Amino acid sequence: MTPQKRARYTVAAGLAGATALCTTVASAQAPAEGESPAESRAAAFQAVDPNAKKEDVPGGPLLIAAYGVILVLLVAYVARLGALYAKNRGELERLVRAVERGGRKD
Amino acid sequence: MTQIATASSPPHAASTTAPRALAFNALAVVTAALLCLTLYWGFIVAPNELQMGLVYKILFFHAPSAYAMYLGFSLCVLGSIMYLAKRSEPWEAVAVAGAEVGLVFAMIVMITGPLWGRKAWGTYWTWDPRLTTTLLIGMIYVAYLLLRNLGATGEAERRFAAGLGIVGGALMPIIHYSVQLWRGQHPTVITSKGGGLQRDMGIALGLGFAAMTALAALLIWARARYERDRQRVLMLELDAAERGLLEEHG
Repeated sequence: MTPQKRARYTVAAGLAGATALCTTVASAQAPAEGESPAESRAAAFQAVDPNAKKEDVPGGPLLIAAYGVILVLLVAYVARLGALYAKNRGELERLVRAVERGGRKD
Repeated sequence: MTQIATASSPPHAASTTAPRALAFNALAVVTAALLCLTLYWGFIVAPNELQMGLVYKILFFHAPSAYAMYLGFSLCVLGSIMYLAKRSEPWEAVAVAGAEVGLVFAMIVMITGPLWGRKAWGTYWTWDPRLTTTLLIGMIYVAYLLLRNLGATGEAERRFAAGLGIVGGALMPIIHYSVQLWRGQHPTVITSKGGGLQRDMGIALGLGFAAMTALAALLIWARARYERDRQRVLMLELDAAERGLLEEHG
């Protein structure tokens, strides 16, 4: 098979595939045969199955956990700020002592 | 010694220290009052929600924390721009403080949100646009702080960190408008048409916004003040080392 024929067959196969895909998508969205647009958009109302298992997540523990996290994070950050200030004070005092020693030596 | 002892507060600061301390303390009192009022209004006055019950009250601090996060990161962007433009150390202190405090509030948002989501959506996490972009901005500012705190204190590292701080800030409008731009599960409580909250719920949320904004301002102020003091102590240390005053004596 010549390269030109191969190229033509490849393009044709691609076009056929794209056409098939578009047709499938369009038919999935199009109303069924004999169905009006309004009927195709009609919502389905279904009864709740009384035997179905329902998940019930208690909100209280989640609320307490959330406020607890807020408190812990803020208190931890304020404590960290306090430690940083104390460290800085210590550094400054160390500098003062070093300068005093240097002054006495002179 | 006198020079060293007063260098952490420069000579001209003597006239501004007392009013500043007074303003700081006043802000601290106002913040504490607002926090107490928010807790009272949120837990005692505001009723439970019809579908979510108690758990919706996480909102009173969750949403305000997000805005406090925006405030912190915006100050980081502003400080970074000013540092790059003017090589100004006070602005760099603001940038670092904004990033750190913003990150604290980002952590509050990222933990309290999923706790609410567990009840509302049945899951702690989804790859919703707002959740994903908030996670991303948090990671960027973690990288910023790691670079500033663990990297060398050279000029190149500081400039790179400033650039990262600006890039991270570009995500903020994306986070804020992600709910309108892309479909996701994150709710919109406050819209251009008002809000979907009952009166007392709205008051509690408003108080929460005021409280968290004041708290963010207070923490940023404290952190920036420490950063400026640290910068001054570092300068003094270098100066003393150059003069040979820090050498060990037998």
